[in-house]
Amino acid sequence: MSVSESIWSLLLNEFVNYVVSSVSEPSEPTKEENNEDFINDPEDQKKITKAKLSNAGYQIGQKLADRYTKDRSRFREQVDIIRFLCKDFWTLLFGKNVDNLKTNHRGMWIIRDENFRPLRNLSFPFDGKNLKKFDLNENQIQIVQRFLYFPCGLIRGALSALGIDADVDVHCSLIPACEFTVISKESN
Amino acid sequence: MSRSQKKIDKINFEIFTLTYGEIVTTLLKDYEDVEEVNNQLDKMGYSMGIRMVDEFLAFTGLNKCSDFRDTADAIANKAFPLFLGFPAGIQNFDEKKKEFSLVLDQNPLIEFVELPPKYKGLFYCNILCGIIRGSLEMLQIDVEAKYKKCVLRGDERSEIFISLKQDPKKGDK
Repeated sequence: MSVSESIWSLLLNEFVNYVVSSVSEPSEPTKEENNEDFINDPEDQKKITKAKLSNAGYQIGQKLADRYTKDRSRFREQVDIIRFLCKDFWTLLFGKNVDNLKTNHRGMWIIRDENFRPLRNLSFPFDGKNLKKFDLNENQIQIVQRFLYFPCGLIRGALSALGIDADVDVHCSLIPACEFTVISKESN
Repeated sequence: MSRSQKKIDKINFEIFTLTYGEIVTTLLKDYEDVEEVNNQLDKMGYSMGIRMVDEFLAFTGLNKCSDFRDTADAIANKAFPLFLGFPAGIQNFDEKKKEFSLVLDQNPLIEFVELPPKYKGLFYCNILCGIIRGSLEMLQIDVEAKYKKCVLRGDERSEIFISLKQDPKKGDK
């Protein structure tokens, strides 16, 4: 059974929207005790948004990785796990292989995707001045970042289910390309 | 038309199902009240629906529906397979009152799901109602979509009840 990719992307966008607005606006203004918990600092808001989205991704990533590896033999090396992530797992989730994979052989990988599915349908209004349309400014990067917390969590969850406890960070300056940095915690 | 023959991108349903499950869980944590969760799901569905209708028209190349029966058919046999990979059934179509029930027999959304008794009031797939309402509104068809029965609540089958609120603008008949 399969569903359309677009309905998943839309659902994700709605989820991101919901989390962002639930963090930045008090949910029920009538309740006073709620307003006390309300977080005003934008840095904190960002942190909570990130935590919520990436935790959701983590849960799903773990389950999916378990599900998709149940008929495979056990991975012997870390490299095999990363290879599985970049080929099979990436294709299942994002419809293509990664474009570039770099490693320092000491527990750090940089995964680059030139056409990342969650960013594919994202665009910003053309301001008329900036000729390179998709070069993002600081503010826009912040917005794009929101849509990447969830995929980060997915990758972190999948890796943890397969036996690599890692930190995953993401960088994006030119949509729809983005770069994930995976740092294994063991190696440090 | 080559446009209508284009295939829509597909993904495995479990990715979608798990994501949706996670969203419902998050909502249940945020709001204590299940009614509020139902509303929020409906709202999310609505924003998805108003975007999905464009894609629906682009991929099916469908012509204008001549009456409400046609609309019902288009939802059940075109839209559901396109987006969710299964056709829905139509029941109790009432020509006069302009209402019908959509029967969902193989809903991938409720795979792996079990509702604990304390969330009895929750309509787990309420997002579908929002989607239907949102997308039909974009076509100037004002409907009310409501979950009537749900397998997860112990009913025999899942049913979404849809009724036309007002006569559509001229042209749509």
